[in-house]
Amino acid sequence: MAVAVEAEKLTKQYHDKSALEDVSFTVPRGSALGLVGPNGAGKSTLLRMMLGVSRPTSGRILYDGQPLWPDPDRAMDAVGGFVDAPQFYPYFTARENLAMLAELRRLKPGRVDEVLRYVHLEQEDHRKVGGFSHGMRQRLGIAAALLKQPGLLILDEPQDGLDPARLEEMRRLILRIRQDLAPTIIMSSHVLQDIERLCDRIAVFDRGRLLYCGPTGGLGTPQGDEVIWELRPIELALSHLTSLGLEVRAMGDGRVATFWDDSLELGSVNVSLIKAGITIRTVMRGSASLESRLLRYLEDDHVDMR
Amino acid sequence: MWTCVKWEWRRQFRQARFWGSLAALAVLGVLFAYGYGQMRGQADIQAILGRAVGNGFFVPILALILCTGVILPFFASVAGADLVSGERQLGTWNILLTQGISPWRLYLGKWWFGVGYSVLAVLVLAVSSLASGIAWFGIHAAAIPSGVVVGPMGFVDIVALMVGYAAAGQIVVVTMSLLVSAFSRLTVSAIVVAVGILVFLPMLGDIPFLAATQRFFFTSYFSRVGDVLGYPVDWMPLVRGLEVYALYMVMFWAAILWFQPFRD
Repeated sequence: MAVAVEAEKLTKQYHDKSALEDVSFTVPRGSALGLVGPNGAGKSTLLRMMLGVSRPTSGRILYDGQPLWPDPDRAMDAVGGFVDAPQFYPYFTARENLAMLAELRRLKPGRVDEVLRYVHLEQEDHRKVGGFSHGMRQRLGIAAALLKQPGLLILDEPQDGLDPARLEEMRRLILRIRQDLAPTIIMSSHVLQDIERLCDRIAVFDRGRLLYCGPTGGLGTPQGDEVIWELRPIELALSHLTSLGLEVRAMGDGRVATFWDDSLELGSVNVSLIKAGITIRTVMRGSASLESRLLRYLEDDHVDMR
Repeated sequence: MWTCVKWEWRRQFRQARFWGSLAALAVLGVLFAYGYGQMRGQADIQAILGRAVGNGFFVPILALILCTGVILPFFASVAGADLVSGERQLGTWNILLTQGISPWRLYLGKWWFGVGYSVLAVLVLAVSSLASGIAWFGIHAAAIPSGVVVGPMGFVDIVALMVGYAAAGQIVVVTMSLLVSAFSRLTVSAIVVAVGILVFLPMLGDIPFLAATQRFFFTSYFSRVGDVLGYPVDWMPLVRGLEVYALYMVMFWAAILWFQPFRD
């Protein structure tokens, strides 16, 4: 598959602090790469460089083989996106904001109508952006990103701060973009279920380093089942499961998760829990979620996800 | 670039502070006419403005002499300092960069707006003070401090020349403020630095052993606007001022070209 994006030994330093260190990866054309990692891991720094907002200290980014720097304005012709929360002039309407961007980019004026319709903001186009909700601004950000009909779409936490209904709307919008326009997508998110649903590749960052970049299914070993119990009292349950030789993880809501070792029998573990005076409220066995695999992966790398 | 200029003007038209600043200058012009009417009998005013005061043309002359050094530079510096830093603070600068719009085009568009605003600010002050001066005192030939009697058309020339010289000074101020703005993330800090430079430079020249440096500062040439009042006009101080202004403009543009502070 052709490579749409190639990053080579990207480093970004602010004074003596390294925000991104020696990061290299490739993104095949038409795929969707999700960037994950704790706050301050370097995801936004990377996206800022990829969108021409910030210069790399060293290294280079290539789009379709063409270097982004030193002339990002030309290289950005086929790239759309936003970094941080997209901001617009609050005293302009949605239409005026997009019309300005379209005119400055010398795009057809009709393009504004197309993207407004695409993100379902055509009814709100004459409202000033200052009165827009956060979700509407995010959609307007996507509309602005789509103006150029980009082959590469870069989105920095597009679901950030959305209520559940708007979150689902945003997921559907991104899925629709993938189906209709088939661009290469790079997006960061803290919502791992979204990365699992929307992306086929994942890049895991921590403290400016790239820990993993590849298919989402390839993250973490072993591939296998996960068991999640809801147990009371939780402290006793944790110590009992640990005494059985299981590596358990408290999920913070009274639930305990572990990757399941097939050499053990789940029934006998449950019996042992009950004998120890622990109440089992629920027990589920299934494929390990991306969240579990990622947390396990990061724990192995001694990364604190908080 | 002209698309950037057009949208910058549109952006400013939507903001109350743009209209507020012009309205304040218009009111200031009227206040000058009122103040002039109150003070015209006083000997010190007559000493400044000549023997035959009570001419409407003296109001814009007085307004420009007194405002070119302090009030107009303040307006120009505040307007210029907000242009890039305000966009950074709002977050819109990133949206423009991510669209692949050249920051040079944006910067040039903003500079042209700054130039237009500087000229407009001087014009608003001059026109409002002239209109209220004419309404209050009428127009007629009058003697200027040198004793020469100047007719209405001569006064038109004098006022036009003063407007041009004052505007040139404000263009330097707005260019300096825009440069400061390009380095700043917050409007307030850009304004403080830009206004601080305007306050600091004359103060530096006031220190006795640094008095000789005064002639190198562009702020020293604002007061030369009063030299226009001689008739015929003594061009040399004005030309010297314009030379210094031009030198500073080159320096400010060289700085922006060298540092290119548009991206992190």
